Amino acid sequence: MTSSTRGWWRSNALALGLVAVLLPATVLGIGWWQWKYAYPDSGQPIWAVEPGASGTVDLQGATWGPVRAKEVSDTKGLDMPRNAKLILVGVKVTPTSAKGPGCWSPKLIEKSTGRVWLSARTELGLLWDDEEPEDCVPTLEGEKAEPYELVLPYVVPDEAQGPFWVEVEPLFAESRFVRFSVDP
Amino acid sequence: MTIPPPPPPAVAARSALVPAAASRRRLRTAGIWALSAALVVAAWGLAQVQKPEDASYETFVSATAVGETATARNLSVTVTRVRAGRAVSDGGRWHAEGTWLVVDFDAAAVQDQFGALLQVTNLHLGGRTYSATERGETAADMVLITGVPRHGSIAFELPEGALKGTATLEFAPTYTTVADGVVEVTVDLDSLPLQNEVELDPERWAR
Repeated sequence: MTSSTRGWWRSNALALGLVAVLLPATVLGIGWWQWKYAYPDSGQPIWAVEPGASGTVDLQGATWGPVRAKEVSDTKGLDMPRNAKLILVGVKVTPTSAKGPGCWSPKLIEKSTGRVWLSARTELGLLWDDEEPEDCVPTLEGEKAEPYELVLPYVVPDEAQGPFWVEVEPLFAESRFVRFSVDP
Repeated sequence: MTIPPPPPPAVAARSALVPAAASRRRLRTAGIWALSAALVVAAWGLAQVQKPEDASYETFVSATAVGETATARNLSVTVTRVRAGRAVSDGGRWHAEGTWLVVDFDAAAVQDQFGALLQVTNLHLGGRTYSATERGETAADMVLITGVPRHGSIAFELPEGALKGTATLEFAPTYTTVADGVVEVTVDLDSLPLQNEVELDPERWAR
């Protein structure tokens, strides 16, 4: 290196230093923004949060679980279709902040096929009941969030086989959702 | 010092080479032309097998007839009965005069119940598209349950005298059918007796 080129590097040291910092910063910044747009901001359920030994999950201002599930054999009084069975799932929800979380309709998913069901309370001929909510209970103004249990009757065809996933997707959870494994 | 002998005349060799070189040049020209022609033909062939530009937006149609089940990506439909009437009622408070086509069917989701409602219920007849009526208690927008069919009726109000020829019913589980499956059912309207009044089946589980 001649003394004149060394002089050029030295006289442009500040600019070169800035380029060395700003160029990677630009790449990282745009990359992060795009990633954030594609994943957490997309609202798509991407990252499952599964319960540990306690059977509960803390997410989005609530403790979710434990969960219970059973196949209901006595369906007297219910409008049940032929060639189908009723799987009843209960998910405890214990809000940990002032307002309880909202959520999308909880899903039952057959692990082997990926088929998805939503609870079918209306179709079973049952009316809405405050004691047996199908969706997350909103906390009204002036009310305090209290624990409750989601009561989810799923009508699935006879040939549907456990184990299943029970998925609850809280609102604004940045692509995270609660997932329990059940085998009624 | 001796004068070297002159080089042997190349005339003989050249005269032998000239025709060979010329024929090779001709061959090369012919080859280039043949290759160009082949490329043009190949390009034409490629253009023939290419799908139209909007092919990637087209729906996947599962076509069937009345009484048969058709299954699309997330919808399974069986049209069980088609009736025509001069009036229609839902068995409740709604009653309407006119020219009505009533379609009874069983429908279920195949894969995913989340967001699966019977949102597209159209009738294509004589270059026109009719949507199922939103009046009365009908199964338009019915909830589709995965693998467990529900039964219901939809009704189309048609212009007087339109009940002839062949019509196509179109069912889809979401308004957006781009690159998704739809079920189409062909209905022969000429063979339909016109009843005085048709009553819609109440929505229930399929039997």
